[in-house]
Amino acid sequence: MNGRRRGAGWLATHAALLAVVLIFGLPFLWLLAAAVSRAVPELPWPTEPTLEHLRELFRERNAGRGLRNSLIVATAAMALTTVTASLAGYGLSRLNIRHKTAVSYGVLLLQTFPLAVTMVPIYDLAIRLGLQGTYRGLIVSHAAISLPLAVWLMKSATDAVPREVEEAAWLDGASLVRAWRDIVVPLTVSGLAVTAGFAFVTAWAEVLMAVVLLAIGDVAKETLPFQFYYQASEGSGVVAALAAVYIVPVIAVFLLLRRLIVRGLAGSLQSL
Amino acid sequence: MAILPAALLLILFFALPVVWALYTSLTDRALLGIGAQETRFVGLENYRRLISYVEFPRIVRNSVVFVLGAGVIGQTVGGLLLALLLHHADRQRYRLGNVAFAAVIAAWITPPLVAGSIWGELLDAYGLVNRVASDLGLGSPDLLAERPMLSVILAESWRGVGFAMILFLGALQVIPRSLHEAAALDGAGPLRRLLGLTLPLLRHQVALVLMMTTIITMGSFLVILVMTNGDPALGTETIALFAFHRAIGVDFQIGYGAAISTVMLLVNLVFAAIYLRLARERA
Repeated sequence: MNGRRRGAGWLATHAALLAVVLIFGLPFLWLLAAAVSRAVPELPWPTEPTLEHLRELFRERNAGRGLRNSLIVATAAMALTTVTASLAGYGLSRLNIRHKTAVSYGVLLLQTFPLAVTMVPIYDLAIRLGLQGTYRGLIVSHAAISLPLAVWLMKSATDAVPREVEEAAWLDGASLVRAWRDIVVPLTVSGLAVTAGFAFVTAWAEVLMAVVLLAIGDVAKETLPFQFYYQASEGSGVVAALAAVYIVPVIAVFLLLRRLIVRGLAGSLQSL
Repeated sequence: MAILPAALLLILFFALPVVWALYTSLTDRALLGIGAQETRFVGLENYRRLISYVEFPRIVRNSVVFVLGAGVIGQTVGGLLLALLLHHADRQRYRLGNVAFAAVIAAWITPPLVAGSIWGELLDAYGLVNRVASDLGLGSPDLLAERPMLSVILAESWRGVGFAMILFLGALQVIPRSLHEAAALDGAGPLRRLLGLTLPLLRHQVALVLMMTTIITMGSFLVILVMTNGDPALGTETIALFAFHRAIGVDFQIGYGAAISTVMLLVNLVFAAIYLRLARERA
């Protein structure tokens, strides 16, 4: 059996897989190499290894503060998204709303709605409403961006919880909110984890809203994507180091949780 | 009641901005110059200005090429091929499949700015791609300078393809194994099973993913922003990047930017309508 497996099919598949690994993996290796090389390297391993870029980032370019601020914003946005999405998913799954299917697909459609369409009015509204330079604006807008897919994920997760379990609770006199809190939430933990992971990654990556809502020079509030936006075109080792600091945490988290997240994503999008 | 908080957020950040964009696009609102002091109602002036802009056809063409290249070919076709490959690897329990899968997903969660910044460096005259090409005796192409549109398409596809791949993988996993076994018993080879069985079963997902990636790619401009900023000579300026440049990045002409956004919105609505139709058919 083993001998037959390693035939032409085995070879072709592995060659293709190797190509995929190289095409998608090498850019990251290069980035890490560039972050610790004196001059930006051609090849994906370091030349003249040095920590000077990282030192400059944290000593002179405020990367530590950016990291902390990004963590605050992304965590708060994640919490807001997860709670509201769980409630909305419960609502869409259980309540008798007219045109429920159309509403659900409409919500999912919003996920593809480009920020390029809404960024101008959001920018304008933020200025008029005095939300510029506040975390409130940043957190709420980040939460809203991941909400459509999050609602969809939580609706699918709730659909999988048998109604009878809740009905028993209702008979015992539990209110809708209590049924949600005591029964739906505990039974949709893996869906919640997927939603939270997705919301965090989205908020972590989101730069447009940061550029639109944060003022240049307000050093105390800078998040990592904001810092990266204003330095990206430099093309130096320091920028590579900043990019590495920016993406390594979120990729690490994602790789750790990837089975859970992907199973959840693929599962709930199957109904498409 | 339960859906209220989410509905509120969605209205605040999706519905309200759309209404606001429609209204603002009819004014000369700007953050600098005349429109900044006193905003006036100018009717359809912004739209007229956009359509009569000399470079407008070029920007539209760039957008179409970018969407076809990165959305349709790079992400939809690419995502389908990746999903077929990884699904096969998964069935055969090839370990390398897991590594490949993780690498594609890592690219997908890489923020667009970072992806653009990495590929800008990899594709330029001193980058890895140039080095590998010249080592293989393929000359020394400075892809970023010589083929800027191809470069941004490659980078955008690299970053975005994971989404389509996940959707396709999910769809492949629910195709019952027995169908394949039955077809194999009837003498259908792998290629025949792919063309005659798998692809027809996936056609709805393909159509939906196509609509989604089209809409997403049309609105996506951060990778281009970092790599070329629309240069050289507007060679990679797409409609989304143009809206950003006019309203936020360079000019602060809110009214004009809102008009460009509104035009994009109308185009998106057409695709969205097709998408909803397909979704409803399936439901």
